[in-house]
Amino acid sequence: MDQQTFTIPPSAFDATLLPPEARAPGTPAFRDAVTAFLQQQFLGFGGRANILVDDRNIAVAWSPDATRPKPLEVVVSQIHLGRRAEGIQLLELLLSRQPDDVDVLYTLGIALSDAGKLEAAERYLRRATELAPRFANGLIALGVALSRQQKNTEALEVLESAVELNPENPWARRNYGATLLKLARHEEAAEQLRKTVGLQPDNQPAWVGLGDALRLAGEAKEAGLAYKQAVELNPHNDFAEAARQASTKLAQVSFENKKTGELRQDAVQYCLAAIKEFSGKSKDEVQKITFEIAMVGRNGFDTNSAEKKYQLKSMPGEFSGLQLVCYMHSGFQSIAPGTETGFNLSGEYKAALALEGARS
Amino acid sequence: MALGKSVEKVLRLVEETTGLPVHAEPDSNLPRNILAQLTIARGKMPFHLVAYQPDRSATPDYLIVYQCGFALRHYAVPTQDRVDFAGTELAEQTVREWISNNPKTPGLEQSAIDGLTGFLFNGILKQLRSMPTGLRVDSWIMAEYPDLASLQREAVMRQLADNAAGLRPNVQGMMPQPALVTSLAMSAAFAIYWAEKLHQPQITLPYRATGHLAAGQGLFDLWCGIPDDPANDRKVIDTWATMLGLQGWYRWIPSATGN
Repeated sequence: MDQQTFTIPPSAFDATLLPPEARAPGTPAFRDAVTAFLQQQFLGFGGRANILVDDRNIAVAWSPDATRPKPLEVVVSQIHLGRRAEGIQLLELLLSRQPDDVDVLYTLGIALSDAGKLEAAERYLRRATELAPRFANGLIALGVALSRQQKNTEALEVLESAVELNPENPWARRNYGATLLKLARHEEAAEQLRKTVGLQPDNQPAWVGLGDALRLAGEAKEAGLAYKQAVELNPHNDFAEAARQASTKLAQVSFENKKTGELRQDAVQYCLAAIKEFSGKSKDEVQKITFEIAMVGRNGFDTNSAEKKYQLKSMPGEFSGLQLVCYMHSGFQSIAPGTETGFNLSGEYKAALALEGARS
Repeated sequence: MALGKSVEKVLRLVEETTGLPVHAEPDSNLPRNILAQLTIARGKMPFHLVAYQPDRSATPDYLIVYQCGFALRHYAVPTQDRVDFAGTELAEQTVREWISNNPKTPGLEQSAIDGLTGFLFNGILKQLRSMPTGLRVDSWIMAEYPDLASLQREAVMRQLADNAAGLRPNVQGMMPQPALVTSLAMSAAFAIYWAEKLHQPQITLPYRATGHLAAGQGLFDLWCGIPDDPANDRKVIDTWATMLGLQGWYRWIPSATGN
């Protein structure tokens, strides 16, 4: 509460501050001149000033303008608008005037961390957390800055403190889980990320992280479900793309695991069917089909099931996951030979080509 | 009342530095304009006493740390150099003359003159003794204990309001002009310091409007010009006293804590 008030008698007012013709207390000119002087003074201060000048008192009450944004709020909004460099400069200026302001240190630390200036970010965030050791968000931001520098063991310690301080904070849990993941502690990471999505079911990055932790812990089925959930939350951003790629990787691993060193005859047959199908089509038509399959497969193909659960716009019928993977592989070899599809089907494709050659 | 970590840390620091503990307690008998008061251990009192206003601060942490700051500065000086501040008869006599000859209050009864004399000369000397050193203590708190910043700010705003009360028409209409000028110059220096620290230039406006800002600026500049070292606290007070014409109003006596 910074309201300030003072009252002085007109006779105590420093008359030299007034025009010569308005220096006699009790005159209208004096009252007007004092009012004008005080109004002029408050112009540069902001806030709201009430000025009352009569023949007995000069009374002034000033209070900060609650509706006027504070400097830190202005800077934060600039950063959110993408003016990060300018925001950082202003924060450094604010900090030079308020070197121990935890909010300024914290905001500056995050801005620098996001700008990749991680050593400086770490310095400011360490200071913030020294000043306010129970400030969980400060600890989380410090943990993230450390983790971004690959100082994962230190980061883990800091983030663990944040979780202890605020167990219901999903940001703390997610970063703690992500750091465990970096340290290859997959099961523990999965446990923390499960808790995160329990606290915040629409936390898309946490779902991706949970999928990664489960995949690396060998829980392929659960991992697939986590990636699926991540994509469903928002299919159009980088997290969804990461989930799709990871999901594809999951399918590839699953596919490889099923191979025993010999060619998969079902895949050979699917490749042969694709070669036949594409032989009667133009390059553009093959490309259209192949790209559509690739798009459908962005969320990952289920190559473990023979169920025909996929449909295409560019080709009639219903297809299994393995079938589409074989069509995609064959399509790419037709339009751009040598393209890696992520599925090791080169042997099957060659065998199919040989079969087709022998028949024709 | 549970005390914060900073207070506990400072209390330990005082005990380690002085060898004596600090006892802090609310005291409803403190004058209204005194937020807290330190009595340094001496004689048969084997502890330092910090008394604070029970009704003026829900959390006395800042007030306790502030008073402890004075104790730490006192003990930071070598034993043989520690001194106490004591008013002289000249101070009382001068103030009595100001009041007796004050054209604003002619014909005061002797009992009123006696009461006002004690009030004024004690007030001016207390301001002289505590304000320049108090600003050093506040700088230390700001640097070392930022968790107390909001409490410090609240206490400072209250102090600024109390100081500005010296400008009120009823005070101005009664107080001898020399006492007014002396006290307001010190209050202005205090306001200048906090206007800068809090980035609120309007804090100095009452003193600017009443013509006391220049004297305050002079005191503030002197304060800035002397290095922040507890050994210099006496020098700052002497320098302010010279500028305010208060030479001979007090004397430095060897401290009872130095024995």
